[in-house]
Amino acid sequence: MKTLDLQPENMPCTITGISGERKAVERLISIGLTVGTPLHVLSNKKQQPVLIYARDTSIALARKEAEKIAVGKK
Amino acid sequence: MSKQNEHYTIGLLGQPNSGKSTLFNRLTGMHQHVGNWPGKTVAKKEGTFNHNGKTYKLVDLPGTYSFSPNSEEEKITRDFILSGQANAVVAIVDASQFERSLYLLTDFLGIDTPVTIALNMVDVAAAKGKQIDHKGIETKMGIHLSPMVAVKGVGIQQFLERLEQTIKNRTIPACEFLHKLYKNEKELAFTRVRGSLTGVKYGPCRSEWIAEKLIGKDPLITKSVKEQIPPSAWNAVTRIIENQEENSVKITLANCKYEWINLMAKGCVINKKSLTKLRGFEKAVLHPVWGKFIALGITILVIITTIGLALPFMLSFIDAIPVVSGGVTAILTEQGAPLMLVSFFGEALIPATFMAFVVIVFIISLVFIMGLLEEIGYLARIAFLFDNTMGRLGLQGKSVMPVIMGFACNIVTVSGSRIIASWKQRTLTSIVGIVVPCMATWGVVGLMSGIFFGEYAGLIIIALLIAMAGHMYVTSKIFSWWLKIDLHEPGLIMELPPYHKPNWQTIFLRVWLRVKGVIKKALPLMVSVSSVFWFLSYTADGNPNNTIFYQVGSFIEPVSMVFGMDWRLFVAFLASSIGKEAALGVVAVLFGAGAELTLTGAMAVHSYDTDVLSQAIGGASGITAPMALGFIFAYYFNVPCIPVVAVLNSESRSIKWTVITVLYYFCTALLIGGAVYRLSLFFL
Repeated sequence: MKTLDLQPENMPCTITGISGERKAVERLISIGLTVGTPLHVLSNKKQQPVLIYARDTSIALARKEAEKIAVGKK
Repeated sequence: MSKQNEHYTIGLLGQPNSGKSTLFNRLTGMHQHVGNWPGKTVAKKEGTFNHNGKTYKLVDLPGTYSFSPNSEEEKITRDFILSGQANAVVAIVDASQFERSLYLLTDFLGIDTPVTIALNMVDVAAAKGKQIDHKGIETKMGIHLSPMVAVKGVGIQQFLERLEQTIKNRTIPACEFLHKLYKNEKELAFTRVRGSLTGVKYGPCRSEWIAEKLIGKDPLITKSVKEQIPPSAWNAVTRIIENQEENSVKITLANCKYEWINLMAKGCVINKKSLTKLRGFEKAVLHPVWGKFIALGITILVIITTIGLALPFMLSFIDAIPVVSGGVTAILTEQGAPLMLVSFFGEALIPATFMAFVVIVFIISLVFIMGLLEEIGYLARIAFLFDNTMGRLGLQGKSVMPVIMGFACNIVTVSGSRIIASWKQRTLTSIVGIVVPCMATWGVVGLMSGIFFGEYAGLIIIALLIAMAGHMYVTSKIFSWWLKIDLHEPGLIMELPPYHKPNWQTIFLRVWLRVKGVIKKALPLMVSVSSVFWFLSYTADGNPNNTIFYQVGSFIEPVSMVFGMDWRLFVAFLASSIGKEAALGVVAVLFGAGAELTLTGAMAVHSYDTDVLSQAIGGASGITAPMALGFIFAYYFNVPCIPVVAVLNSESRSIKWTVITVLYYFCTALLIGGAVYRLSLFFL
């Protein structure tokens, strides 16, 4: 099982699981990221937040939040 | 009740970056004002407009992604809607991000408040290849949907017609589809939970809505339901809910909502294009190394443009001071006015008022430039680039700009912190940013270091910079704790909106509202504090020994000497709270040179003749090297100047925190100066 912070750039994938504290989970959900959401990683560089594209939106995620999102092929 | 007096209250709801401010400004124009939501630090924007003989009060609800009560903004939005004071709610939906934008609306399904959708940015959607069948969606949702391009004013009239219809017919969105989806998910046990809610009331909400919130473990709803149903029923409910895994249930609920959104969009929304790669410009802007250089370049450009735009006006006000002051004092003297009154006008009231306007002009320029950057969308990129660095100081990425600009002027720091959404973060940024010494501070510190320490001045500057870094870190820790900033807040989860052309109306209105606020709050403070200092430094015969400052200063000299300051240095230190140049003038006067200047005159100094002052200070008797060093450090870290304090007050809207900040900097400056003095006694 891979987490989003390890997902290579420009490869499509789908969210397979979200874990973490209540506030973070709710924020992720309300910004459009839930289990089954397809996404692209636009930028994944060390020392920077992860930048993804999902549901027509570019979203920046702190690495510590990206570590709690599991992704896989659909 | 005559038709002409019909008043309606409308809540304007929308996610961030949906064009909500644009629509709000377009509808209300100058008929808007900003206050506070009662008991909260979030700004409340309200405005009015007329249509068809009816008056509408439009309440701009804070931009949120959902109704969960996690942040102050979300709580305010939910409380407002559930209070029932709105005749209708307008939900702004970004057509180019249609599916995601609808999520906020799903929290509405089950609340009996009329809703209408403003489908904004249809032009952007079209350019992206997105086609939306408005009529089809209207039919499915059961509410009116008005396509528009708020920025251009397209579609507003039809929108207002539909709003009127919505209020008249109390049009509520159809919620059966969504609730059916909930019922189909075994995990939720929706029907059973809802069944135990007979007799429960929560605002204008149906039991399905309450059940959904209960399953989602919403703390406020849970508490309310517990109080309303008999213990046996409550136990039955908790048994179901406690068996559900929290995150899993929330995700299931969310998926039902997105499923509902898909149902609404099916056949009605067609997507053609999609973003898969970062293109050239954006790639450079977000690059971990080049992006930061670009950001630094833009920050410097902001400072230059801000000063450049404002300078002609600022100079006119400054040049006018001696003219007006001279003219007024001449008239007063002619009329035989008492000397003290003449001095008050000439050396306090007039210079202070005009300087306040200099500050205001500067702020107008800054708000305009920063507003431009924000409108274009660049500030979100800054937040991205500096999230990690600023995170170490307990700040957000956007804070980097106000803090760096503090090297030019701390007024910019405090005023520029406005770009940060949350009050706590904004205030923390301002307070921490004040540590950064401004240009004037550097100038004076450089001068004094050179005079007293000659070739060692460089070492002192380096020591000051190290001390600055340490001070910032400690200050950020202290105030993060004091302001009760939640360290377990989720990390950055932020939308990066596409770049778009700035909306000039929005920018001008923002400037206008800010100027109103500053004039109302900051100007009186600046003038009154200046007047207080004038009074403390006034003497009829120009002899500093006759001022209140001297009386107090020499009285507490034994105490101030603990920190390495005799009464003259201490008064100069106090004066540095008014402004950095003022301290220099005071030192010159108090140490016996600059005969033309009285103490009050010295405090009104805003530029200085370095040669004259160098001579004065260099020849000053009684200052030892440790005292000078201690003074330099104390001066460096003191409260920057009155305008900074005044703007902090008007931005934070909290006298309490302004006073705390002033006392904090004053005391830490004394302590640091004192420590440096004591330490340097050993080897200087």
